[in-house]
Amino acid sequence: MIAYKFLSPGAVGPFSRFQWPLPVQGVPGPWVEARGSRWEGIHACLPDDLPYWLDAELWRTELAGTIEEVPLQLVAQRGRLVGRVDRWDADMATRFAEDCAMRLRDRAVTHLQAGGLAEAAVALSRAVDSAALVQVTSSLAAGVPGIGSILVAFVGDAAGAALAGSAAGASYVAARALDRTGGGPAAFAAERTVQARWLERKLAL
Amino acid sequence: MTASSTLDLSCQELVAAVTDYLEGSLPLLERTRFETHLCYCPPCRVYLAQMEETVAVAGRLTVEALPAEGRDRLVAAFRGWNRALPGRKP
Repeated sequence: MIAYKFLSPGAVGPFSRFQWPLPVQGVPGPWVEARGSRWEGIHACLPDDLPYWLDAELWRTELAGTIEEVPLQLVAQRGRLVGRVDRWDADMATRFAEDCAMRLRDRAVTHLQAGGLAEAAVALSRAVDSAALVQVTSSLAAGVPGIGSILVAFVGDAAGAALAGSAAGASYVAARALDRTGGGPAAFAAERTVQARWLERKLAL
Repeated sequence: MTASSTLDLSCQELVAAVTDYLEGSLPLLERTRFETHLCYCPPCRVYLAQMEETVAVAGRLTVEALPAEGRDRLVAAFRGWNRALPGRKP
């Protein structure tokens, strides 16, 4: 089966530091088996779980042999790299992070409007990029009461992560914010699903 | 897919689990929680790298290889740490 695997720059396993053999001229790389170490099994994931594993490179990975589906990933007996998903690059990662921060901004704006904090809502809605979000959330933090202040702070954190080039950070904060401000685990999962759909669509998976 | 924040791991939990992770004794689900946390938490990645380096360096040391002075200072430091713990009698 075909699954997906995020790797660090140079097709290196982010945890195992294993240097994956690359496909050559459209021919998949050689099969890899991981046995007898703490890295036992080849780990990959389905599109639904991509937001949990973000890294620099995304690879289509063929899995074979016994394949176990566990929460957030697949663990297979063997695997090989089939081809890189070229659309996932630093620019796409930034767009993804910005999208997460902006979606959270919209939630916060709705919350502020519902709470009668129209001025704060307008100020937040006028921030159209991460740099502006960091600035406006910093100035709003003290003047917004209750859950709204937590949401605003999370928006600032997500935007800060996006600015720092951390798609993993921004997307995590966006999901965590919804969990912590009343939505619970269901809201966390829903946000992660929205993120997964975004990646699927933009990367044409 | 199981996408729930109940799978989330705090930094404190990661610190508590780091030895088991490095020894490869974490159950798969716990390892998944550990590694997904690392994906979004740069400070914990630094911490893990430091622990791996410490294990690599300390693993090359034997009691015999320690100079006597260094061994004595280490023992004294541990004794001092023990006395400094709240509720511990000297």
